[in-house]
Amino acid sequence: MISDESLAFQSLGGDISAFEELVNRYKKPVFSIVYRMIGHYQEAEDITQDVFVNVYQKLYQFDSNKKFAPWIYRIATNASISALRKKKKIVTLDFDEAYGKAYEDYYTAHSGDPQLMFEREELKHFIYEAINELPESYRAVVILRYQMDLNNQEIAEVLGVSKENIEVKVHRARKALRKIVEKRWNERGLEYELPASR
Amino acid sequence: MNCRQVDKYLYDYCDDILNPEQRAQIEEHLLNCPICRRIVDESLLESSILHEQWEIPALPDDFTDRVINQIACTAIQANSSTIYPHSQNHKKWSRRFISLAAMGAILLIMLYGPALLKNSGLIQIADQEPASLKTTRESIMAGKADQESLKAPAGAAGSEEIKQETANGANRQKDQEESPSSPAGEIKESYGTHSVTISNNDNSQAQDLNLMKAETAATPEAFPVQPVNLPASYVLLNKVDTAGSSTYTFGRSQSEEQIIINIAQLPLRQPVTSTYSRGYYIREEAAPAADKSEIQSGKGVTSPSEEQGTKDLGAQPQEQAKSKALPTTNTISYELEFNNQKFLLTISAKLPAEELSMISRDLQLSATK
Repeated sequence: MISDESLAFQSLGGDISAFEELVNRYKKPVFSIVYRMIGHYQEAEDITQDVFVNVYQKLYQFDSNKKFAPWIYRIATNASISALRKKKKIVTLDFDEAYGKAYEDYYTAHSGDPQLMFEREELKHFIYEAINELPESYRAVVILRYQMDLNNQEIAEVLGVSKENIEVKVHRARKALRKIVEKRWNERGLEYELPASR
Repeated sequence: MNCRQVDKYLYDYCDDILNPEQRAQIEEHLLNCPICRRIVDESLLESSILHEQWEIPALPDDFTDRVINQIACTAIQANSSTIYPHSQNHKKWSRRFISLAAMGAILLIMLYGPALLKNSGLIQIADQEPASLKTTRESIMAGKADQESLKAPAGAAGSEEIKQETANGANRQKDQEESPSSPAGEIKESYGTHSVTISNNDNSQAQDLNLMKAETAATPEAFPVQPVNLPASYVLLNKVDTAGSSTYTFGRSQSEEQIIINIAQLPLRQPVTSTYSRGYYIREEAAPAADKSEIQSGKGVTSPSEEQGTKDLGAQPQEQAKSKALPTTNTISYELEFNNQKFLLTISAKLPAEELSMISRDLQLSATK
């Protein structure tokens, strides 16, 4: 199998089929990042398309000695952050579809206490909402770490910062997330006591 | 490990990225600290939720095709407009460039526009057929009756008297100042430079020209090059700098021969009314056709007629008188390159074409000191 980096090199030489292969390999992860950051399908699709066009135009900047994935993730993350900042408003993810599906899956997979499961799913809903309230850089770190399963070093490469900086950001993002969730939980008149701690 | 340290490694513990030793230390602390235990449990639940893959809707099947098509369209647009693909940046910069260029153009028009307009008017007049030129000259003469009334009797008195004046050493300086205006005037006329004073056919134009001259005088431009390698016997008599050109007059100490060298920077700032070509181009004096016939017939400048007076304005009576014994004026025009800049050299002298050609071959340019 031809490496991503070789395909990028071939694309730079004008081989459009090589770039087509790169699009096929990366359209899903790139769309995942953008969709999780943006939360709107159509907008995420448009941004993803722009990301690939941008990648094609910037191929000459790609250092073929480095990995292709962090580079394209970086472009996708930056495009998402830019789009969010342009909108200058908090975008609420349309979780309904994802939420319902996940709940059903979880319910069918775990035949445990329905009340416990319901509370867990409610917490999940709060967490998803809280992610959308995080500053863009924290949101990007959380998505790359937990949804894209990148380690701190890889996130550092994507965001172009040091690994230590990412460690600090993950910690702060998680703290900020907890604070938001706790607030939401308290707004419902409940003391913040997660199902797990009972 | 204390509570603060547990808090520091809390999320790494939950994400299971600690080394076994650190992990063991935290678990040891959790056994004896219910507060930290609770926080860790809550964080573990959060981590498990965060790790759950969200439902991501699938992209359309034709997504890849759409991307490739968009790339192709962008490439075509970039090729058709020779614009680098970063269209947004380019648009931004092109907008800035256009506004800057517009500002520059306005400034240029404000600075040089009046002069150019006036100049183009002059060229048009200079390009007119000789009859109209003649009329123009006549009108100038009429307007400068005082000067002409002084000059005409001098012409009428005959050339001998003028010759004597010219030969007089005391008047040498005066001669040096005046002489460039006659032959150089012909060259300048050809290239439409400021010295086409014959176009001062009305007051407004005269005022305009004076204004233009004043502007030129107020902002003298140091011409970048000067002629060198002329035969040692020639000495510089006069030098006149105008916009985009410089005219040198060289003379021989023991002779009345003069060489007029006009160096114009290319591209010419003003239109050329006579054609020129690369390489050597020799032509005989064009403007004073009557002069030539007079020279050939040995009449000299003795007629006090209006027609003769008109010619006298372009060529001073002294020069006309001197030219009696000299051959026809020859002119050589050719291009020379110096410091990656091109210059049009026009050498004019009452010398045989071969001799003038020899001189021009040796002539070089050097930077003006």
